[in-house]
Amino acid sequence: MIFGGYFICWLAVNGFNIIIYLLQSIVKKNPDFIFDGCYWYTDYLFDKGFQLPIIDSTYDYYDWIKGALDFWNTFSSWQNINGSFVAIYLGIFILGIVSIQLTSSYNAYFDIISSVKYNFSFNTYLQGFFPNRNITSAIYLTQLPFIIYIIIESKSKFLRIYSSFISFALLYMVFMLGSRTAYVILLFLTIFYLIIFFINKHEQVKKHLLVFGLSLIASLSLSLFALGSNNDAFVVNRLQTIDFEETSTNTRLRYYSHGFNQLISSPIFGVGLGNWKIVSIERDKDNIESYIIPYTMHNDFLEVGAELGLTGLLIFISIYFFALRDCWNLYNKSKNNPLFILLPGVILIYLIDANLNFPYTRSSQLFYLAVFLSISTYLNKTDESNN
Amino acid sequence: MKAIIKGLLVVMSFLSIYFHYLNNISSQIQSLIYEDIYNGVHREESTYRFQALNLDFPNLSLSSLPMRGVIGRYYFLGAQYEKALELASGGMIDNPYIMYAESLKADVFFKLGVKDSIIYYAEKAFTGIPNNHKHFIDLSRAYINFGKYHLLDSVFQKVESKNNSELRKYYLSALLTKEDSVTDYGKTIAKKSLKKYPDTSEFRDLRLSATYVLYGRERIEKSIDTNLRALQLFDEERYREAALNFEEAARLNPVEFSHFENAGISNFKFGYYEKSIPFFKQVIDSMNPRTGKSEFALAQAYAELGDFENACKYIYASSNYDYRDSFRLIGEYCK
Repeated sequence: MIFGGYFICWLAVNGFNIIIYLLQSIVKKNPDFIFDGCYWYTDYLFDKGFQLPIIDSTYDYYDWIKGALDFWNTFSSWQNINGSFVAIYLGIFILGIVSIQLTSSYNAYFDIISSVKYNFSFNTYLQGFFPNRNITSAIYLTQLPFIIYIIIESKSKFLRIYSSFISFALLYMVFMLGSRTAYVILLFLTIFYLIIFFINKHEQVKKHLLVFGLSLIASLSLSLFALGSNNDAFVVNRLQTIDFEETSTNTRLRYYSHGFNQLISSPIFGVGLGNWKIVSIERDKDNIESYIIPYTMHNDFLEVGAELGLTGLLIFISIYFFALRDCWNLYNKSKNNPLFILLPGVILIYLIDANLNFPYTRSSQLFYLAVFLSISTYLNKTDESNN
Repeated sequence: MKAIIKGLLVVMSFLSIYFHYLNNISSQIQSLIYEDIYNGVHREESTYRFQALNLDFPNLSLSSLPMRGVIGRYYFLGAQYEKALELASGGMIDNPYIMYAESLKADVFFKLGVKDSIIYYAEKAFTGIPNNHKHFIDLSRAYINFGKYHLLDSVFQKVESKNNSELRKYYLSALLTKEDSVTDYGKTIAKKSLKKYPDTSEFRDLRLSATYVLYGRERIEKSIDTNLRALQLFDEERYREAALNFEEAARLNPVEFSHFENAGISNFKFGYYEKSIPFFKQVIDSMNPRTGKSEFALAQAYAELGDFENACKYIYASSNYDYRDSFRLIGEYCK
């Protein structure tokens, strides 16, 4: 059923794209393709250039790059609309999505606390629409900068109040889920907002840190109140479980070591796209039980390095580099525009997750990356300095 | 240029739909196959859509098993060995490290009785992924069938450090196929296993195999017969005779706590309270099955001898293991 749903979803998305492209050709409103498809083309070359079988990593990369192109295509068609409006529009859309996502988690949460006290063993019930607590937490947090942006930038009082409530509810749920990756993300996000706070004195920009800080403190306080300091789901106790001898940490470190060794042994072109899941078996054979293999490296960058060598890794990093450069350009055009906080905030969250997990295999997370890549390019091309 | 890029995107979309379609068909069939693998039953109905399956794309399953190897397993079970071998050879190219196809080849050659190939592929599969139960069984089976018992120890030595109870059980069972070939290493592993794994339903088979290895099949079977005779005598309320038979069973198989416990209970029932105590103590101090039954019986024995201090101590110990009958005697023994 899941597979079927996945296919129907792609059929719909791609079918819709075909219609849009054809319609655009007919009405002669061609978008300016700054994304000239080089990412996809490079991907394609690597994909075809190696002997080992083409398997599903190809889909993953292909799908999200194509997704970014599609989003960019859409944004490009809004040629006379300013960047702030696009961000608000997108923010409201994300606010709607995150509200639905949170409803699912909170339904389970209220069911649990109506009969027993919540503890960490219940965390799987709070996953909502996603397959595990790490993904749920990362997706919730990726959307947080958009929510904060609405709180500060929206003219509607209702939207500001509602977004404040959602940002608090979102962070509270992240604390309940107890994902340690999420704590690392929150730590880096706090540092990021603090840096912005000190380098930019503009009031609107400073508000981002204040709103984030207040939501964080309020949700953390309530989680302490609701759980108690001895509860294993409480953030401090979850952090204390990080141990290099622990299976999950130890396994990650072992995979990273395999990935690093693989990169050294074939530094230029790697083992080929999608082939890590094959060669990793040889490297980890003494730890494999049954046929359960190290399917992913739990670090997208190392995995790309192992599969495509330094050549592919540099191209992969360049995707983020150019997008961040666009954010920097946006900042230089208008230092008071809070958009320059929103976009790097989103990518920072994604990058931390990409260094500890494997979001490139999850379309639910790639959606946000595709949005980020396309919007950062688009906004940089619009004349923000006039706003 | 823009028109070319647009055209390319349209083509990409069509290709995307087509490849996702192929993937979707494969995934649907794979979901049936995985169900078969998990349940250990390869159903005939799972094969109905094999003709629609493109084995070139995707050529690996969702968990990286070679599709050709997975499909080949059905042909093997359907006694189409040539086709199974052909698919297994393809599977070895598709994923040369997972050793699924090599294991299939070992099975096919075993069925066909091709000695060298059985050993070659079983060794290859085991060397590739040593901690896989099937690979371990395949290689043990190959060595046993061709009289290479002396190699069983070296196979287990490769996986011993993983402390996998299942592999340990298979190894000990393999040793039993030729008892006179059991080495000191095998007996040491059996002894360690009895110490390491508790007498619970989860490890019962493992412990039984270890006991057989340690004391020999003949002796253990004799202890089982003696135990059965003792149980019959107990049912006939011939307690003293039952106790002697349980004692004999315990002598033959000293790792089975129930022999000692039953010897103690039989002596107690006969009125030999003092004589029953060492049997219960043996169970509690040396074997500790954590059932609370021996503690309960020992408390009763002390109570019959008027030693309420010890009776109270052991009735509490029994209640700590939630032995139900113990609770009603706490008030009586611990005043």
